[in-house]
Amino acid sequence: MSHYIIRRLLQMLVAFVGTTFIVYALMFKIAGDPLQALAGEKPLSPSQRIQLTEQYHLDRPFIIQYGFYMKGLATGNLGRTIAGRPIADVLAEAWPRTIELALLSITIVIVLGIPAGVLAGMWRGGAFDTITLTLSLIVIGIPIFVLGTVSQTLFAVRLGWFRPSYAPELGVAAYILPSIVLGLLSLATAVRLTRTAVAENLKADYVRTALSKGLTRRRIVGIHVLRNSLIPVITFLGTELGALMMGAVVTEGIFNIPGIGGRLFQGIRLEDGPLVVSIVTILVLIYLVTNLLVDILYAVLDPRIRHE
Amino acid sequence: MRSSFSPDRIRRPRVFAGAARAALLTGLILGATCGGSRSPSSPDAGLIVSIGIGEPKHLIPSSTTESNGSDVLNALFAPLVTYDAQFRPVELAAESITSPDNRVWTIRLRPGWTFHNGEPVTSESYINAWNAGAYGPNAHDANGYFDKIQGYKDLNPADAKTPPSAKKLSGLTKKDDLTFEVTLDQPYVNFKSFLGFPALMPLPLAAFADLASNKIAPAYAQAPIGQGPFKMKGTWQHDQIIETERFASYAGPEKPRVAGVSFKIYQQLTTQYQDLLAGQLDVVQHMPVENLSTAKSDLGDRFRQSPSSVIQILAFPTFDKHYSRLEVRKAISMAIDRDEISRAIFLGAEQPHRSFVSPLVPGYRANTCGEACEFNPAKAKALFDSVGGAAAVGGRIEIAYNVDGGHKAWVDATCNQLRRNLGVDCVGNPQPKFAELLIKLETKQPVGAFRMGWIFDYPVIENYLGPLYSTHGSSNYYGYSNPQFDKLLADGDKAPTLEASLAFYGRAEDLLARDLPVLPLRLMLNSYAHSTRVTNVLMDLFNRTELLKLEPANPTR
Repeated sequence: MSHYIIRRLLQMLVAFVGTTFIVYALMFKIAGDPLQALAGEKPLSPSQRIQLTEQYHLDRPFIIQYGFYMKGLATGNLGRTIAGRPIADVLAEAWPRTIELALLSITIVIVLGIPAGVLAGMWRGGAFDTITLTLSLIVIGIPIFVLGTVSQTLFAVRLGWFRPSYAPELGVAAYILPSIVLGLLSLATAVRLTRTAVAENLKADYVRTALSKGLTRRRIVGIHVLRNSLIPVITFLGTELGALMMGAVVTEGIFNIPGIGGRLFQGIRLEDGPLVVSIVTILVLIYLVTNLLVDILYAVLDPRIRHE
Repeated sequence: MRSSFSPDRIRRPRVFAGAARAALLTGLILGATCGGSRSPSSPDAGLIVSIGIGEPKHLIPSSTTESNGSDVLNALFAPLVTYDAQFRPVELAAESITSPDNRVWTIRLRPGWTFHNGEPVTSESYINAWNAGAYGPNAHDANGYFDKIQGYKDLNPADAKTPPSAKKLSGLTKKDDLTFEVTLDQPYVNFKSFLGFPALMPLPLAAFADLASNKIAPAYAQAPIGQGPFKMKGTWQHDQIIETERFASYAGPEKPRVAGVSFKIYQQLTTQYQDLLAGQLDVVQHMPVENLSTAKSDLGDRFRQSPSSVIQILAFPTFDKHYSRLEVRKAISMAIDRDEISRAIFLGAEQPHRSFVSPLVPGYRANTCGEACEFNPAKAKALFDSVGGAAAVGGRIEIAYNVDGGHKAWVDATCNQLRRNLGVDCVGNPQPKFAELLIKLETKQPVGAFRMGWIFDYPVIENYLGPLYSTHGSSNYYGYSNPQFDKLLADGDKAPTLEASLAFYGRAEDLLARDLPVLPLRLMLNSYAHSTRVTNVLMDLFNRTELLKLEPANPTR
C-alpha cells in the first residue's frame, strides 16, 4: 500500500510542477511585454517599470523567474497583487467563503441527490424516475451562468426570497441560492449515478437471497443495496468538491461572493498575473490532493488496484 | 481609454427554459430561506445611500487614477477646484489660485478646514502629499501627473535604478500656513483646471510613516483620512464595502444632506442592477449594457443619462501605407453611417460624434470634422474609387478591436457599411486585450485600422489634443506627427489667458479635421439609475455621483 501511495505522490509532483509551469508561462511569458500586461492599458512610469521588473525578476531568464516563484511558494511567500496587497491576505480572506459555499453545495447534493437517486432506482421507469431524468438532462444542458442569472432574477429580484448579492450579515443563509446554483450540475449527476447503481444492485444475487430469506424491502435497500451503491457516488463527490471550488468562478461572479472564484475572475479581468498564478496553483493542489485521496480510497476498497 | 466594461452576455432564448425547473428544486428547501428585506421608502435624514462600485485599486489620492478609487475619494476629500456649468474651474478648498505668468502659481487655501482626525489643513498638507506622489520610488499610479512641476526630474531619474537626487519637489514652496507657491517648468494655462484632478488631494501628517522620505503609512491606505464631506467608518473591507459617514466639521459651502454613503463593491455590473431592482442598492452609476433595453420600463424616470467625456475614435497607424492617403481615410469616414450605428447597436447609449474632443471642455465646437464625418455613400465611393478602390487598401479593410470591451457588434456593423458603401471587403480583427493591440502597434505589425476610446482626466481641451494627437503624446499610438499642430498646442499652453489659449487649441483641432489622423465616431453617454429611497441623483463630469446633492426621497403617499 505504501508503495502505491509513494508512486501516486511522485506522479502528483510531476503534475503539479507541469501545470504551474504552464500557468506561469501563460501569464508571464506569452504576453509580449509582461510589464505592459501587468499594467493594463495605462502607460508605465520608469519607476513602476523598475519596481515590477525587480518584483518578478523579469530581467532574468524565464526559467529562473519560475524558480523564484516556486521558491516563494515553498516558503509561503506568494508575493503581492498588482495593487500591492499581499496575495496571502487576499487568499486568507477569500478561501473561507468559497469553502463554505462549496460545503453547503455538496451538502445539498448529498441530502437531495442520494434519496432522489435511490427512489428513482427503486422504481425504475416510473413517474419519479422519468421526472428526475428529464430534470437532470435539462440541468446538464444549461450553462451555469444562465442558471445563475435566471434564478437570481426569479427568486431574488421578482419573488424577494433571497438577496441578489452576497450579504455577509446573513451568515450561512447568504449562500443558499448560490450554493444551489453551484451544486445543480453535481446534483443531477449524483442522482443519475445513485439511480443506476441502485437499479443494478437490485438485480444482484444477494438481493434475491435476502428477499427469499424474508427481509423487508426497506431493510434490503436501506442497508445492503445503498451501501454497495454508494461507492461510485462517494468517489464522484470526492472529486466534485474540488470541481465545485472551480465552478465557483462563475457563481461567485453572479452573486458577488468575494471568494476565491471571484478573485480569480477579477484577477483575469485586471490581468493580475501574480494573483491568477497563485490561485490557479492552489486550485491545482486541491484537485491533485482530492484525486489522490480518492485514488487511495479506491485502493483501500479494491485490492486489485494496489497490486497492479 | 481606461473605460472598457466587459459585460458578460446572457443568451436570452434559453432564459425561460431554466426558470421553470429551478422553481421546482428550490421549492424543496424554502423553509430555510430568509426574506430579502425591502425597507419601505420614507424620508429619512439618517439615510445611508449605497452606491455600487468595483474594487478600487488604491485609496491613496496620488495613486488613484481609476474610477472606482476616484468614486471613494470624492466622498473623503474635497478638491482645490471644482467646475461650473461651462466646465471652468471654480475654487472649492482653495480661496484663490492666481498666477502672473501661468508658470508660478500661488494657491491660497480657505481657512478653517480640518481633516477628519482634527488636524488642520495647511499648505504643507498639499506640499507633503504632492512630494509623495511625485517621488519615483513610491511608484504611485499618478506619478506622471506631477511632471509639469519644477524638480520632477530630480525625483524621477531617467535611469530609475539610481536613487533620486532629491526627495522634495523644488517647485513647491510654502509661503505661510495657508499659502503655497507652485512653479512649473513651462507656463501651463490649464493648471487651475488640473487642480480638480483627484490625485492632487492633501494628506494629513497621520498619513505618513516617515515624512522625510515620503513614506505613506500602510494603515492609511486602508482607511484614508481626508478633509471632505464624508469620513471613513471603519476600514476598507476589500471586495465587500467601504462605509463612510457625514463629517460634522466639513468646512465646504455645501453640506451633505444624507447621513452617509456606503460604496458596495461588486464584481459585475449586472449584479448591481439586480440589487437595485431588489431594493438592496441605491445607485448604479454605470448601467450594464444588457439591461439598457429594459431599464426604462423597469425604472421609469429613475433611469437617467448624463454626458460623459468618453469619445470613441477609429485610428489609422501611420506606418501602414494602406491608410496613408487622406482620400482613403476620408472615404471610410464618409461611408460610415454614425447615426444608424448609434441607434441600432447602442440604443442611444452612445451618440454620433463629429469632433475630436468631447463637449465637456471649454472650447468645444460641434462638428469640427465637417464634411468628412457626414454620411455620404455616393461621394465616399467616388473618392475611394478615384484612388484605386479596394486595391488602395490592399484588398480589404481590417478594424482591430479588443474583445473584452464589447466592441464586436459595432465593428461588425461598421464593416457591413463599408462593404456596402465602398464595395470593399472589410473584417474585424479581434485582439484579446487592448494592451496586446498596443504591443502590436509598437512593433509595427499590420493590424489594420483600430478602435480607441478616450476619457479626460480633467475638463480641458488640451487633455484630448496633447495625449492623443501631439507627436510625443502618451496615447498617440498611431504615430500622427504634425509640427504645425505641436506648435499650436505649445502656443496654447503658453497663452496668457484661457480665452487666448482656446484660439490656438481651436486652430490645432482644425488641423486634425484637415489631416484626419483618426475618425471621430461616437460620444458615450453615462447611463445610471437609482432607488426610490433617494432623490436628486446627479452625476458629475467624471461620472461620479454628486454626493452633496443626494437627498432622501420624499414620501410618495
